[in-house]
Amino acid sequence: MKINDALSGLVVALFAVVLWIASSRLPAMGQDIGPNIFPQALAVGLLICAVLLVLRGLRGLRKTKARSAHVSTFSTTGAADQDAHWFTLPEWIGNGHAVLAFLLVPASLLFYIWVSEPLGFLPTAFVLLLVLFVTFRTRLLVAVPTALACALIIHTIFYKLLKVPLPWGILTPLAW
Amino acid sequence: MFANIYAAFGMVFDPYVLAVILGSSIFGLFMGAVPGLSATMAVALLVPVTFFMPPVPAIAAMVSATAMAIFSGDIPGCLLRIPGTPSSAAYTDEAYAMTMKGQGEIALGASLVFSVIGGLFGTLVLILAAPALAELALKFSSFEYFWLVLLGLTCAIFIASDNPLKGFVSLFLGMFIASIGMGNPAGAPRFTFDQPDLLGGVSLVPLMVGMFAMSEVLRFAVSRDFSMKVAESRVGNVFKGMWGLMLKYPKSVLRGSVLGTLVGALPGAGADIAAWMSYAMSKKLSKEPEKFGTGHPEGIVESGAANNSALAGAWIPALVFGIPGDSITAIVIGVLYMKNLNPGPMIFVENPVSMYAIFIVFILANLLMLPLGFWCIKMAKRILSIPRGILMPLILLFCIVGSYATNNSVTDVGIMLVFGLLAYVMEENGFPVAPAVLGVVLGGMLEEHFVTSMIKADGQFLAFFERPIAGTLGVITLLLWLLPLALKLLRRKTLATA
Repeated sequence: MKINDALSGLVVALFAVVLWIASSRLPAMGQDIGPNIFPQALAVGLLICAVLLVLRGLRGLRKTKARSAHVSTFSTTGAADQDAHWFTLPEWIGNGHAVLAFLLVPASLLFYIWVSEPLGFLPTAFVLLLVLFVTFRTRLLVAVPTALACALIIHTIFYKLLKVPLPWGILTPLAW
Repeated sequence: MFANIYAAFGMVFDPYVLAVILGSSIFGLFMGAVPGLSATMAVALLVPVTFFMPPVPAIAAMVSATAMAIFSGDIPGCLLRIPGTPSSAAYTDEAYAMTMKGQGEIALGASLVFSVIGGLFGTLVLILAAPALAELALKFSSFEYFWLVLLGLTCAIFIASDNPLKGFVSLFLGMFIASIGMGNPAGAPRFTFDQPDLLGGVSLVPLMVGMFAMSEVLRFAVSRDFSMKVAESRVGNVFKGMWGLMLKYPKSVLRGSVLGTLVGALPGAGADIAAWMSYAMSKKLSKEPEKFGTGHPEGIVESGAANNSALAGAWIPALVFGIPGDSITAIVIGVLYMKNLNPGPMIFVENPVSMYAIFIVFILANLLMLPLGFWCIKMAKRILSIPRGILMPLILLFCIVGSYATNNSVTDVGIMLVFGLLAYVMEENGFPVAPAVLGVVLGGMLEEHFVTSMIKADGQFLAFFERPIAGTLGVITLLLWLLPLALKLLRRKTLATA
């Protein structure tokens, strides 16, 4: 999703203020130049950028108004016209399959984080690959053997060659 | 010195190192040839693997993979009109036009041969310039380094992004990420939210894998093109006629190589910008500029040499000052630190053998590009017919395992998730990602030099300008910052009076 520069600027400004306050609470180490100096310098820099961003964003919106066009809060069409609206939704938002494919990427990471220890690497990787393959329009007949082979290959590379202790999970009794 | 060079040859021509070079070359060729997978991504994916290697093979893997990827990015440009990496985008239309005219063979051959020549030229400059610069840099104090880092970052933003304001936001964000943890001069835990995992700072590997690889998978997921169609073309002997091109355009070859090396050595500007600038220059100075865009090899010769020489050029500031010349060397610098090969002028005093070994790897990788590149061109059709719907999930799994492998903890997978999403949102809104990564890599260094200098100067900021070199660098940096503002004000004034 594209958001107008004025709003990005506000977010950055908010972050800068929080950063300044959090830095000022850092313990001073008995010197004038403590651990707070550098982050506070960053906060000042961010704040300057934020103000400029807000100004630029508002200018863009004003231009839209001057063209006597309507400044809509949401726009799904004007992907190229980020400056003209508060929010510009991506073109793919109406396409259910695209939204699903997009959400599946972070979801598969969360799946790995939560499941890999108890379930083990091989089953987790197999399920993860299979679901993504099928979502990206690979036929099941191809997807199943590919997912199995690739899970085994990646397991061999990292577990055998690089000695990464990937979890065995439910396959522990079969560990090789 | 000769004993060192001899030892370096021994290090490189070791069966294990040679196998690593061959393997990562093939990996690099593949990554470059598949559109959507870039040289930077190839390096990011190599980081977790090199984590388990000694320093020389680890660096060798990155050098050979990137050199190959920058060349092989030309192949889909030629056959599909889709650049394989951003560095080939400048002359994709030209190369495709040649293929359409039935001269695809010449376009591919020129890409390959002049990539090799450009790469070798950049390597030569690296070998000659880096030790000499290091000699000079030995005299630098924290004041000079402070300005040098700041100047480097400034250049990075002004050259590499069309929107400097957003570039600065990105850079500051990166430096904030660098300040997380206890790795600051005072040793105080900062912004860790009492998480013990964050005390050592944000791990670099999952951050880079997330920002450069996972964000790409996200972009693919919504791109809707799961397979591609390759143009029909026959490719025979691609080396035919290359000597003729060399004799016809000797100036272009030299100009491309020199410009590429220089642009590469400038912090923040890498192979892609070198190629664009070089293509534009070639057209401007050519005797037949009207032929450009219609399938004319001159521009391909010049910018093909430029993007490969930029690769080696970027290593000059990376090795001598620890300041990355592009996003690839930003990752490399992170790896150098992990391998206790801290970049800086002392690296040439402390580790001369490793340095010579890196130089030898550069030469070897560029020479290896001739046979491997030829083979890759022959295989191109098969590589391009692998469906991306299969490739992208595999890359995602590789990212996950790679992030996990650095600390054997799923926390790092979480870090990768956070930074992958962040990078995606940033790029969607026009905030460039490269300055953020530069900020992460250089933030710690900038703070250290800043704090040391401030303590030395007793809080007097003017001391930053008292030494001659530091003063000069400082004035240049400030000028670069103020110039755009001054120009804007001037323009407004002339508008008001007019």
